[in-house]
Amino acid sequence: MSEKRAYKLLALLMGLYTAAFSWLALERHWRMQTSIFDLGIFDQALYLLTQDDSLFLTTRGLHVHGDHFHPILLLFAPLYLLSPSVTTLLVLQTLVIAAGAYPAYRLARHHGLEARWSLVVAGVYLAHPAVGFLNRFDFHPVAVMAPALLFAVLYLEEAKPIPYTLALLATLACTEAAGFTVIALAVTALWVRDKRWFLGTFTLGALGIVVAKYWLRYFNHDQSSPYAMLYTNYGTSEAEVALHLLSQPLNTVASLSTPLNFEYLFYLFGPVLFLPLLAPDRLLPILPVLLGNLLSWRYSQHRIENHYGAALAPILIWAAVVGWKRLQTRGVSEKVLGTLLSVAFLSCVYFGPLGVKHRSRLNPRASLENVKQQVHPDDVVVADNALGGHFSQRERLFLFPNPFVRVAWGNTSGSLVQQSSNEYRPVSRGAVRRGLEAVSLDCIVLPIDSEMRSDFPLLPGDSSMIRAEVERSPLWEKVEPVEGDAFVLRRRAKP
Amino acid sequence: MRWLLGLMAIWLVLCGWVALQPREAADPLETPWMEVRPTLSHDGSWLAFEYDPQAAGTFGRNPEARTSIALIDRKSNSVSKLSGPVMSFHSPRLSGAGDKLFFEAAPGPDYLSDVYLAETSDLQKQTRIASPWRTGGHGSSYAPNLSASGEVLAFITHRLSGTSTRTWERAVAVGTPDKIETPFPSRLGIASSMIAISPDGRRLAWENRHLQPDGVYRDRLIVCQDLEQTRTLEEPAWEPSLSNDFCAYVTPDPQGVYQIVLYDFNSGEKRMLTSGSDDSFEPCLSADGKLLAFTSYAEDLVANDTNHHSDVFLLEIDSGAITCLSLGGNGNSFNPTLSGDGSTVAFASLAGNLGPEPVEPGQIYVWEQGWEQCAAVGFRK
Repeated sequence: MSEKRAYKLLALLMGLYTAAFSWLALERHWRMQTSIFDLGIFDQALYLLTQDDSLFLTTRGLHVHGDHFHPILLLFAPLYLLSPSVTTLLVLQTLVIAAGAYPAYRLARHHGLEARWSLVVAGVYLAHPAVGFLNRFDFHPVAVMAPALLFAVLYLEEAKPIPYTLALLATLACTEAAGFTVIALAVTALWVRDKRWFLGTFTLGALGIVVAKYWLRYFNHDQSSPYAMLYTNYGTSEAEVALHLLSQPLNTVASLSTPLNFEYLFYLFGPVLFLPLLAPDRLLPILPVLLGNLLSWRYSQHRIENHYGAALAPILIWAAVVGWKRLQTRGVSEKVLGTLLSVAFLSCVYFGPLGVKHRSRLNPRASLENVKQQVHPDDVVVADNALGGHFSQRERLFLFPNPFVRVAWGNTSGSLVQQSSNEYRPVSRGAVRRGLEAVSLDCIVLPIDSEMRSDFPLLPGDSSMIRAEVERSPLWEKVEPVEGDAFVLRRRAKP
Repeated sequence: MRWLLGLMAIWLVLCGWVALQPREAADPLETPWMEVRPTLSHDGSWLAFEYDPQAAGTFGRNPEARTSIALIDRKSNSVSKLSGPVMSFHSPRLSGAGDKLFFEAAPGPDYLSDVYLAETSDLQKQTRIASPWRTGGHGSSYAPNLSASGEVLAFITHRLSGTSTRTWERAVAVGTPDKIETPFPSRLGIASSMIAISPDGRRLAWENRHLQPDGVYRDRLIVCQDLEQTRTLEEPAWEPSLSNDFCAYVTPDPQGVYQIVLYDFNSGEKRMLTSGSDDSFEPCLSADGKLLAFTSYAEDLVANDTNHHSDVFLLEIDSGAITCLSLGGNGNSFNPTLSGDGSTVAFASLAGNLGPEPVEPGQIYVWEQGWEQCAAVGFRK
């Protein structure tokens, strides 16, 4: 196959992927399976960034830049300015992720794979469950990390320092944890290139960590990020955690050896037929984020369905390509290797979001047009988590039951625990009534069907109690007609 | 290549413009007033309640806002405060003698809430009472309550019951400060309220939120005697308060208005104590079960209640005589607590006109038998 034809096919592949995954992401949104956490948060963040409003996120109770370090979010702002909608975000995210197929293809070619197998490698990247679910699960600026890191490793292999540095900077701008990945990449750079590459990469990674730390403090009332508490089983600082894990290796192995972790590891390595394990030198940069996910007490970090694989997928693809190459140099026939790659592609599709298992979980399409007409653009709205993405382009949107009852608000450790474990200090019905009286908002939007609603961040029983109090409150009245899958409560005018 | 670089440059300029454009100052967010959960010793000489040391509200733009606990020795009029640079303190409960203070504090050693015991003579002497459910990241404990002697303690604890089903549960943890067990886990549903304990420590009661076959959650009132058996006292019902022989709780009347009902453990009889046209809740019984303090929005419980706010009432159960302690208040009054001997009521209020002199809205008021007016003892500072 000629290179030119291969590039045409690659463009076609990326186009098909963009169409399929944009549709998949939008379908989730239309079926009320996106949520305030996290689509609504980032939609409101971009809305505020592109207006002259203050940058206080009412969906989270903190500054736009106070939760995570993601200045890369600004890259989305110019297009969002032209077309401010959730559709823009979901399609842009898909396009950005699809762009990673190009460096995946080039990496494979760099390691001597034929053009046709390199195309399959690009397909494996696009179909890998970590990439697919990253794309499907709402919108996250960290999604940029998948292509950015792939570009970085491509330019590392090709020894192109300037684009390598730019790709690393983009990687570092995606999340506060990226610095750790980059430092681990520095060690690999020592193997692949030389000491100068190591030093440069290490310096960038360390700077990234420091900048992210002080950035978060600046935007968060001089408080550090609460996410360190995800490892409080092992220590209360990064150094304490590392010391604990290294000094008690048996405990560490026991903590890692859980069924949940094995399942997670299978979803990462299984679809690529464990080929990355043949290139442990290239796999090294996966360790900081992978260990972070495996050791965290937060359940969602152990599940492939979330966005925590953004830093993992590019390294897996890189190591798989090098692993494939190493099999080839040991005399494994081209036919066998081609079959391996093809099976990897198919298994990625099977275990990814396009697989039958995950497709069957979709709700029916939600009917919200009438509901959207009942809510004015300037209204201050409280919405169920499942509805939040449909009402997030406004200065004030609150996650139900905020602000009447404070839950998962701000950047405190308590808020993080509430988000992760539905923990909630029960309040009396009187407290709910007083909360409803104290705050004069315009609308509350709630789903009708219990199957469609998301009780997050509460347990369903607690959510039901507060919902019942809201519905019986004389301060609020249901807007008629109720047509569609949600209803609107509007605050009655004061007598 | 040049056009690509040019495009990227324009893009970055646009991003910079977005990032640096002048912005409006943030408007203040309206803040629901915090629950202050006051508690009194048996004779009313000790009072403790939650307060916000930063006076910043608990729902402002400041994520650092933390709650503290103030302890007042009303005999000597001295005030001590539980506070710490990183901790938030909630749900104080005083023993009958006023010598012990139980409370919850967060973050604990692994950032979760724990129940603590402190001596009122020295609040810095604290003992952590860990939940038996404590594992990494799970097993918070909160909403403690205790018997009059302070020897029987109960609180709610929270955990993940199974990683595959992702079921979270809250259970009643009960025992002595030295030995806590979780005898009533969530096979019954979830414990959803502050757990009531009778003064003698023999009975517990809590509201229990459970899923019915039709998919609707309902609250039932669970009581337990001598830690041996549990039974449903009423459904739907919630917010129990116990004396040794009685349980007061809230249940909706046929019109859906919340009323307070008294259950007699000896005779098994139930008696509706309120019949107002609007909700009554937050009942608090005296130790002998003869007096009841509660909150109500009803304006037809006493004459001249025309302030259109919730009020705190004191009911003599045998005679049916009701006194409104916050009559004419220019703000909601709520969260009443009654001393075990029935001599003293403390409650929170957004009214500033309940005492002899006008004060800032947002106060803890104390009322004693024989007083004609309440006295403000402070709230936020």
